[in-house]
Amino acid sequence: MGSAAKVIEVRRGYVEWDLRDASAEDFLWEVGVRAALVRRGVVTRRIAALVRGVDVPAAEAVSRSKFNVLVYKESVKLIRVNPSQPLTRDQVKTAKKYGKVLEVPLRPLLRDLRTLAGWLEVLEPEIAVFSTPVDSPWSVKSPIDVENLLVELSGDPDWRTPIERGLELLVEAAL
Amino acid sequence: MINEPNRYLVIRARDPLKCLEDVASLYLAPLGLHALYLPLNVVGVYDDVLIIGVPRRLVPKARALIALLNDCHTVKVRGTIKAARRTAMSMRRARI
Repeated sequence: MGSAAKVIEVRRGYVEWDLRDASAEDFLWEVGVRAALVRRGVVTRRIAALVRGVDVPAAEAVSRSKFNVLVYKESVKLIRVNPSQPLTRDQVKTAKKYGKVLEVPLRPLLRDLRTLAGWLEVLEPEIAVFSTPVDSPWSVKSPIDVENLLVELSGDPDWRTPIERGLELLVEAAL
Repeated sequence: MINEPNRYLVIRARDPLKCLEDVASLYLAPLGLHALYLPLNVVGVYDDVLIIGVPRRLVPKARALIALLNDCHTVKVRGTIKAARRTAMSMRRARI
């Protein structure tokens, strides 16, 4: 049976939480997070970890022009974008065509809802992942709270997808 | 909405009173006109756990509001006050 194709079972959970401090793990578990994107060197006990840069080939696009370079690179699967500069719809379409996942940092956008609404207009729910840097137990956000915020702001129930399917997206990127 | 059953949000907050203040200052947004006759229903504060009651229909909006606040997040939504208190107690025990 050893040669049988490996089946990856995606369990209920959320990944897009960027874990920097292991002491926040219990709070994350409490709000229903079962897997997280972690920084190198962070060790988790209960939450399944995908390590940025090792398991998931990730790169950061500080500007739109940098994004245009990264989007064609074979070796990059996850592109972290600069939240203050929304991409154009064409750029998002290109990213989708080349199978990239876009990571949008959520925290700065919560203070700037206008830009968040702008992002929701250009992004596509199937390739978007919202990350929240968790650097202390009190910076934990409930994924369902965030999901409801995205749906309320955009008026489009499809925005539940990035929160519900983020785990699958990153597992695919890791393979 | 008056006779609609409430749901109870169990919220973990670093400073529950500060969190309550923030919710109170923004709660017109999710409630809209209903805020004119629905007062903010605070069930209780247990250490760092806060319970507020919201009409069922407004739960998504209330949770969206909590997502905007610093230092607090919804842990569970419960159907009765009794169940919400029980959840709050078990969360408190788990921390000790």
